[in-house]
Amino acid sequence: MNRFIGKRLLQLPFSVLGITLIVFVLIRMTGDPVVLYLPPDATQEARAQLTRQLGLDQPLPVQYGVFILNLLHGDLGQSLYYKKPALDVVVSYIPATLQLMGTALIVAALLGMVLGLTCAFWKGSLFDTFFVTLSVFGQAMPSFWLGIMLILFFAVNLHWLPASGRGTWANMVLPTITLLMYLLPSTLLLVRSSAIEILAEDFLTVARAKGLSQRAILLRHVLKNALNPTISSLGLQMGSLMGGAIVTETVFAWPGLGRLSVEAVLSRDFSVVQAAVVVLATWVVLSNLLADVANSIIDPRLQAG
Amino acid sequence: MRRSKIVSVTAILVASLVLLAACVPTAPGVPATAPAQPAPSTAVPAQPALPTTAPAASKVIRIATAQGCTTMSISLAGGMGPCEIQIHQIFEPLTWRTVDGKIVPLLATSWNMVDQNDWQVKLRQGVKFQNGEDFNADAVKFSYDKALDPKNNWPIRSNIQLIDRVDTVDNYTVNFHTSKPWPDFPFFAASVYIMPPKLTQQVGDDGLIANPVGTGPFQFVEFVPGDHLTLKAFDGYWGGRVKIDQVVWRIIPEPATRVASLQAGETDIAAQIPMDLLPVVKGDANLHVDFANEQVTLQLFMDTLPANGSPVADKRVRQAIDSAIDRDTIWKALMGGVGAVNGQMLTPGIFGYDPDIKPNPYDPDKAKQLLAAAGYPNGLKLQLQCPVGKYLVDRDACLAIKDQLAKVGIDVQANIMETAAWAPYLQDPKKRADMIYVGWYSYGNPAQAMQWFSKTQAWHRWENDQYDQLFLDAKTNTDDKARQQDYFKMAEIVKEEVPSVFLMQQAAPYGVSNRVLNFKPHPIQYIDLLHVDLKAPK
Repeated sequence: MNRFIGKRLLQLPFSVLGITLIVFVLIRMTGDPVVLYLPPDATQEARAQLTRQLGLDQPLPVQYGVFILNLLHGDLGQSLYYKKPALDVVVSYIPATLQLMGTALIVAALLGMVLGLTCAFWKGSLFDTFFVTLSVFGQAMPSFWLGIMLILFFAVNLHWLPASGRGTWANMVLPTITLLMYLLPSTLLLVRSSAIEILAEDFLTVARAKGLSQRAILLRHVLKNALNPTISSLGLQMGSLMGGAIVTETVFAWPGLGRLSVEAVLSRDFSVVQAAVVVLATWVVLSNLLADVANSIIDPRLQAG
Repeated sequence: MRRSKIVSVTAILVASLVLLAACVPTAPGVPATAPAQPAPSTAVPAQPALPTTAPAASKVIRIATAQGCTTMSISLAGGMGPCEIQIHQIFEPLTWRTVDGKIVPLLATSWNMVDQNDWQVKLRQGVKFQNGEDFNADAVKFSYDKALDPKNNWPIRSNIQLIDRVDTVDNYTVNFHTSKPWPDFPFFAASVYIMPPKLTQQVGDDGLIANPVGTGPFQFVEFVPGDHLTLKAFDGYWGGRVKIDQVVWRIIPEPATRVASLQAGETDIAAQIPMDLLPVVKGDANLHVDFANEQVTLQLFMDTLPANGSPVADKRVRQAIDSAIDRDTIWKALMGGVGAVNGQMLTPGIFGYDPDIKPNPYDPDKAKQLLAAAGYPNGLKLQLQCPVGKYLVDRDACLAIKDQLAKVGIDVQANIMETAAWAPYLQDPKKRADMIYVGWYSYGNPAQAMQWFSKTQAWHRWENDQYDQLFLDAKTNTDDKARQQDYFKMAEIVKEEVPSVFLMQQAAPYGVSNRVLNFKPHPIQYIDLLHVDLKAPK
C-alpha cells in the first residue's frame, strides 16, 4: 500500500513538469505580455526594459530553466497585473473554487449513489426511466447554455436566486446545479449499471436465500460494490470538472481559480498562468491518487495491481 | 482489519471535509479603514459585503463591468486599461477629460507654458486627501517622481517621459520642465494620479495598495479581486459630497450574465453591452440603453511597407478596397444606430477633425477598375487580421468586409483571433499582415491617433515624408491655428494615400436601470459618478 502511494507520489512531479512545459511553451508562442501591458504608444525603450525585467529576452530553454530553478525554491514569480507573488494570487482564489467544486462533488456522489441504486433496484420503472433520460439530457447540455438558462429563469423571471457573484448560500445554488448537471449523470449511470450487474450476481441470491433483508442487501453488498466505480469516476472527472468550473465560474462571475486562469491567459500574465497550472495539475493528480487509495482500501484486491 | 479500513476511509472523508470547510468563508471581512494596516499577502477573499446589508436609507449604486482592477495600485492606471475606471473614483489627476472631449481643471486650477520647455501649474487650494493630509505641491512632485522613475516602469511612464524635472515653486505652484516643447502636457496630466506623500512614506506602496487613499469623490471600503470593489462617498470631497452613498462595483465577465444581473435588479449600470444584447435591455421596461460615441475610429490598417511584399503596397489596391466597402450597410446592420460611419482618423469634436472629409462612396465598379489597373484583373488574395471581443463590433465586421470584398474579386482570408494573438501584428511591422482590423483611440488628443501613420511611431506600416513633417510640426507648434491646418493637411494626404481604410466611429453602450439619474456615458469608457443620483425606491 505504502509502496503504491510512494510510487504514485514520485510520478507526481514528472506529470506536473510535463504539463508546465507544454503550457510554458504554448503561452509564449501565442502572445507577448509586454504588448498588452504597456500602452500602444509606449517607447521601444520602455518595452525593452519590461521585456528584460520579465526575463523574456532570454532564450526559451533558459527561461524554462530559471522557472524550474525558482519552482524548486517555491517561487513561481511575480504577477505582472497583481503586483504580488503569483502563487499568493492563485492561492487566494482557491477557496472559492474549492467551495463550489467540493459542494458539487459531494452532492453528486451522494445523489449519484442514492439515485443510481434506486434506479437499479426498480429497473425499468417510471422513476428509472425518468432519471436515465434526465441524465442523458444533462450530459448533452453545454454548461454554458444551461447556466445562462438557469440565470434567466430563476434570477430574471422568478427573482428567487441571485444571478451571479459569491456571497450567501443562495449564490451557490445555480452554479452548483450547473456543475451537477455535468457531474451527476455519469455517476448516476455508472452506479446504476454496476448495481444492476451486482444485483444479478450469485452471492446475492445466496444472501437472499439466507434471509437477508432487502435493505441489508442494498446497503451492505450492492452499495459497497458500487462504491469503487463511483469513486474512480469522480476521481477521473476532476480534470474535466476543472474545465467545467472554468465555464461555470465565468458564467456566474464566480471569483475562482478557473476564471483567474482564463483571465491570466487572456492578459498573458505568464507567472499566474504557470502558478495556476502547477496548482491545478497537482490537484488533479492528487485527487486521482486519492480516489485510487480510497478504492484500494475499500477493495484490497486492487492493491495487488 | 475491517475496523482499520473503516477508520482509513473515514479519515480520508474527514480530511476532505476539513479541506472544504477551510474554504467556506467564515467571518465577513472587516472593512479596512485603518490606513496603516497592511494586507496579509495571502489574504483569503473575504465574504463580500452584499448591498442588501447596507442601511435602507442609504443610496447604493451597483455597477457591473467585464473587467476591473487586479490590484488597487495606481501604477496600473494611466494606460487606459480596465483598471482606470475604478482607480479614478478614488484618486484624481491634475486635469480631466470631460464627456465632450475637453481638458478641464481638476486638482490643477490653471496651467501655462511659461517658456518653451516649462509648464507652470497652479494647484487647487484647500483640497484634502481622504486621510486628512493636505494636497499641495509636494504631493504632486512626489506622485510624478514616482510615475517617472524608470525603476518602477509604470505603463504611464512612456507617455510622460518628456518631463525631465518636477520642481515645487511654492506650496501651490509646480513647475514641469520638459526636454522638448510639449503642448500635449495638459492632456497627459489627466492620466497621472496624485497620491498622499506622507501616508505613502509611512505605510509604503503596498500599504497604499491595501488601503488606497486619494482626493477623489469616493473612499475605499473593500476590494476582493475578481469579484467586487466597494466604495463610499467621501464627505470632505472638495467638489462637494456626491449624491450617492455607496458604490458596489462588480466584475461580471460574461455579457449575458451582466445583462441578466441588470434585469434581475442586482445591478444598476452595466457596461460593455454587446450589440446582440441591446434589444434585451431595450425590451425591459425597467431599463434603458445609454451610449457615448467614442473617440475611436474602427479601420483596416494597411501593410504598405515594401519589404513585406503585400499587394496593398500598391496605392490603387488600397483605393479599390476603400471603394469596395459599403460602410452604411455594415454600420446599420452591425451597430444599429449607435456610433457613426466615419471616413477619417479623428472623430467629430476632436481638435483637427475635418468635417469636410466624407467617407468614399460605395462604388464596386470603380474598385474593379482600380484593381485591373493595378494588375489584378482576376482578383487577388489578402489576409485580414481581426481580434474578437476587443471592439464593440469586430468579428462580424470582418466577416462582412470579407463578403463585400469578394464581390470585387478580393479573396479575403479573415484570421479571427483572441486579442493577445492579434496584438503582435500591430507590434511587429516586419510581420506581413496585409490588413489589420483596429480601432485607434485619440482620447481627445489628435496626435494620439495620428501618430500611427508617422515614422516616429515604431509600429507604423506606411511612410510619407510630407505627413511626418506636418505631424512633427503639429506636435510641437504652440499656435493652434497652424496646428489645426497641419491636421487638415494630414487628413487630406491620408484620404488620398489610404494608409488605412476608415470604417466607423465606435460607441460604448451601457445598460442602465431607470432608477439611475444623471448618468452620462463618457467617450473613453470612464464611469463618471459625480452627478449621478438614484431615485428613491417606491
